[in-house]
Amino acid sequence: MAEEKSQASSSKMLTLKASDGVLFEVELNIAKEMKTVQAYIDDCEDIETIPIPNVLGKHLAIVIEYIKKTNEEYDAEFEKQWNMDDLQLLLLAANYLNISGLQECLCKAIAKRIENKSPEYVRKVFNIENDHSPEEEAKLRKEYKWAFEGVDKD
Amino acid sequence: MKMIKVDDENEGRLNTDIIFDILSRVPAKPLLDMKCISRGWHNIISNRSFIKAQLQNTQLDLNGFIVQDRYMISKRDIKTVSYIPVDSKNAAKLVHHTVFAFLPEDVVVLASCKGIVCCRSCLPSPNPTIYLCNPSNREWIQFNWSPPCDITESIALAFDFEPSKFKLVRLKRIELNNYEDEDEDEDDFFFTFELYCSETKAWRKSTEMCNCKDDLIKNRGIYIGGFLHWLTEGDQILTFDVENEMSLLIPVPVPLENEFRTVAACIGEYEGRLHYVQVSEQGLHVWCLEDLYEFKWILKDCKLLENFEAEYPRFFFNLKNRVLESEDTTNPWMNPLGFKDGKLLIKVAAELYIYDMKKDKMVHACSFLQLKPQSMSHPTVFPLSLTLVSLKDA
Repeated sequence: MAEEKSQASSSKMLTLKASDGVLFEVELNIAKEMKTVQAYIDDCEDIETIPIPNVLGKHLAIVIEYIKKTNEEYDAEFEKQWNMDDLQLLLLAANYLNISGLQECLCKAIAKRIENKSPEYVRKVFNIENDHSPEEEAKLRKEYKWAFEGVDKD
Repeated sequence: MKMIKVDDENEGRLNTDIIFDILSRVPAKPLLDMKCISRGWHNIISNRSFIKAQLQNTQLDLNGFIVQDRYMISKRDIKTVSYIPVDSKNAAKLVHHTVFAFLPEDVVVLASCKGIVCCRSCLPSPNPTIYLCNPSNREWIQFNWSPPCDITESIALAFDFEPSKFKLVRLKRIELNNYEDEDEDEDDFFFTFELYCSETKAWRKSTEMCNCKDDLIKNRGIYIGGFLHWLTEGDQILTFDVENEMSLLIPVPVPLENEFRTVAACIGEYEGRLHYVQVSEQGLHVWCLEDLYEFKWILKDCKLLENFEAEYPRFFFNLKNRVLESEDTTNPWMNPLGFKDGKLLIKVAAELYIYDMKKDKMVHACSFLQLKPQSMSHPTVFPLSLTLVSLKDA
């Protein structure tokens, strides 16, 4: 999947329309890497413009570039250029468009970025409400305190 | 944080499937902390299929060393179990003593394998029990420890991530009178093996026996690639092929020099292979067992004592001379106690340090007194990694 797409195999072009109206002309074999788009094409053979309602133009551009260029080296450097907000939106896009390689790459990147952070930071990043009671939370933290540096209970 | 609103009930938040995917790539230690983020996250992290995915996507990291004293000769066990975390950001190094307090009684730790710990009741006990537990989630299962319960016996755990499939190997040392050879007045010592299989839920004595004149010391039941390893007081490492029930004695890379030997060595796993760490006046040497059956060792790392002295003058003043002069063979001046994933727990005089071989960095861990030592011999050390594995699936 990761090699440079050959022009010869399919010269048919498709148009993808992002949520903000930006249009992208892509080769069929690039578009097919997006399994959601593939399913759309399978359903309606003659379609030329496919609406992508959940993804902004700027992110769709990045996704298309990823599909064209993906390889081990590219993937390793890819995530470094984006901030956490963009990573999440790109991940939502990859998930919606069903591009497994990109989804894995982004999940790994986000995992790496949150693994050494405090729970407060992680809540903010993912916009999560803490619905533990203070007692529950204190009990949880106490249970594994030994695995982190902390006070000797004795 | 600005999230673009989309026409979606999650309002731009990542859905549970995506969170599952992300979290399954996070190592166990941060995941423990993330349980307190929300009830939803707690449920995800505790979910059985999540744990399976997380095991596949991540590697186990060494979290710390379990340290426990044993009397050299006694019918009573020492109850204190200490825990030294390896990544201590705290300047004042603290040692934990209640890691196993969730178990119903005081225990003696017997083995540690991929985050699961095998331990047993302290003797004397009215109801001797063997426990398999996971300190990360405080779950355990238990078995009868059938008599005769030998206070010196070792029980090792062969565990490969699947909670329903594990084996326990009970190792006992027996003495057989050797009357055949009239020149020999000595008795022959043997190790016997008894296996518990989680699938049959039964113990079975193995026909295999291993003739070995030396007793076990320090590192017990290290499980690597289907083999269990125990360090002995002599020049050999007792090894047991769990599947085929065959034992062998692997000679250590450098034979110990004299009759009254200083066992300033320990063994442990690193990068899927058995490693042997030795301290002598020639320095710290780390060997890797490249080929088990060929007994082929390769020197991976060595560092002169003079260099430790030069780099850490506050810790190791006059180190080389102290090591040379150290006459107490049961308690060498510089004594490697446990090793895993490139990290060495080492005792120097009355202090403990952790040496990171990969980074060539030595940090002070704690003072020996913080372990509440009760015996004259060096303690037994078990490295511990964190795992989310649930023993309830066993």
